[in-house]
Amino acid sequence: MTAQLELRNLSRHFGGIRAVDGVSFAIAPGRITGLVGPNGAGKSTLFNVVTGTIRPSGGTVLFEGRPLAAGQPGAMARRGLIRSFQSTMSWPELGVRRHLEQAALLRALAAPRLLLRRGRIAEARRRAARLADDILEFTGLAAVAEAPVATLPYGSQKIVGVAMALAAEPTLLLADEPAAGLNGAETLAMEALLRRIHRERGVSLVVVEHDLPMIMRLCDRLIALADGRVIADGTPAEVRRSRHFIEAYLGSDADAA
Amino acid sequence: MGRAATAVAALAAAAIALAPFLAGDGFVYHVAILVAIEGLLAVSLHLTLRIGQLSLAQGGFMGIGAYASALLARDAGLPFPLALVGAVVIAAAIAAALGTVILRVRGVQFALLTFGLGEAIVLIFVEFVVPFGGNNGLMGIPPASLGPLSLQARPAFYGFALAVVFLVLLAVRGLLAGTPGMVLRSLADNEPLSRSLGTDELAWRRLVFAASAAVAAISGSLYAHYLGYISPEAFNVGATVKALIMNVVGGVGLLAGPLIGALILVPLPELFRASVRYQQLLYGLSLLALMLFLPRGLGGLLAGRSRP
Repeated sequence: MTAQLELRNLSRHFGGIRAVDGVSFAIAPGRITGLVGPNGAGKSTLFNVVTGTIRPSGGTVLFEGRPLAAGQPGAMARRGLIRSFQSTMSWPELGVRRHLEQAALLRALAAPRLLLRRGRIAEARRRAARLADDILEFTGLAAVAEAPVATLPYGSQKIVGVAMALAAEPTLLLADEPAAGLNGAETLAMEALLRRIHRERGVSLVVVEHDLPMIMRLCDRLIALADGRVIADGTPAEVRRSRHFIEAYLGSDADAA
Repeated sequence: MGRAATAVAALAAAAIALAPFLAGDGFVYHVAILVAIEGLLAVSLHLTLRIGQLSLAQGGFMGIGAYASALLARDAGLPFPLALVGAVVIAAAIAAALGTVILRVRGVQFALLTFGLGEAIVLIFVEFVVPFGGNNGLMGIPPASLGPLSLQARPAFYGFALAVVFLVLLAVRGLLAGTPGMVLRSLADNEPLSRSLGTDELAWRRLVFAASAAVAAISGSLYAHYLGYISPEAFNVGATVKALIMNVVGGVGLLAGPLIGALILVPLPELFRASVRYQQLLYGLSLLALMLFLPRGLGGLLAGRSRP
């Protein structure tokens, strides 16, 4: 079985800084994988290279067996690899439902040549409306469907960010610090939502997160990065026992975890 | 804008558009035709501004339209409507091909790159005496006609130009206000988000850039067949800068903005003609005053906060 996402010796340098330095791993379909590491470990850079936002300095990213076309941001998304958004304030004055519809429409009308197909816009609009209803229900945002996103509490705004990614119908969802800035109850709600996205919608997840207890509960597999390299890779229990991992986190979150 | 305001604006636009017919004066027709031609160039620039990229090559694309249309009609013997369509297709194809490369560049660099492109296009007209006539340009361009209907008389040509402006505005509105407009706004407002959702940004930008070149080519074709004579310097960066000023004066966020700007800036020098010595100075000072006191342009007065 081909891996859903595979990184082969991936690196990205900024001047002399090796932000990502020869990272390789393969992720099987249908998993929840956590990506952890202290600040500056290279998680964000890795995310940006995988989604095609920045070019790798070396190595390859394969999604469902096919390599990422360099210099084509958006190409990965069109193939079903969608990232969630840390900031949902794209259209602060628009309601939640409109956010989801826009996300679905943007995904459906990715290339302008799609406009040439007769009835494509009307069809895309109808489909976006149906998808928005479905996701509002699924994420529990139905009650605030018409509220401008700017008026929602922060926890709900983060849910909107994940819901928008869902509206783009991913097969693999990259969740970028979904719990950052959330309080205890909100973190639990986010964790439950991610679990349901995996179980009920069949979406694989890769989650970057600082909240170690949360990510250890959530994931089947953890990959720990430090200084741009993989320092531990295994089940959460294995990674927690790894000497390199403990060293990287020494005296910080490791105790709490 | 509310319904009533929209109706008033539409009536005012119709009144202004039809005013030259009432005046019935040859010079008024002439100025009105230039407003339409230069307004179209300003609309073409407006399209590139909507994707957040200032193209200084629009005058060059107008030139491509003018030369292509002139050569197709004069040397290839095509009737005017076919020459116009041919010019539009040629300019749009060139823009689409160049866009694949240059639209990857953003901001000031894009403005500089298109500045160079615009000047290069003009230089090609100057250097390649065959078929472009060098510095002398092209003469004896056949006047416009639609089948048996001659558009040589100014009233007829103005009527045709008016219809063209109307159709171009409808098409541009379809691109900017509908669902494609939503994609383009999203791309302009929040590029990372659009990208994360799979928008093929280069393809969308290329579409708008090609459309902008098409509109500039229409302007160029009208210009060539109206005057019957073209020369390279009419299409240099100065023409584009004038179109930019029209956008700023009329209001950058409004589709009618470039036309409002053309309506003011094209006749403006004529107002100061009595004092020829100070014409340029007065023109400059009026521009300064407009920009200082109406930073959102004249269109901003009408439009409130809405976007078309």
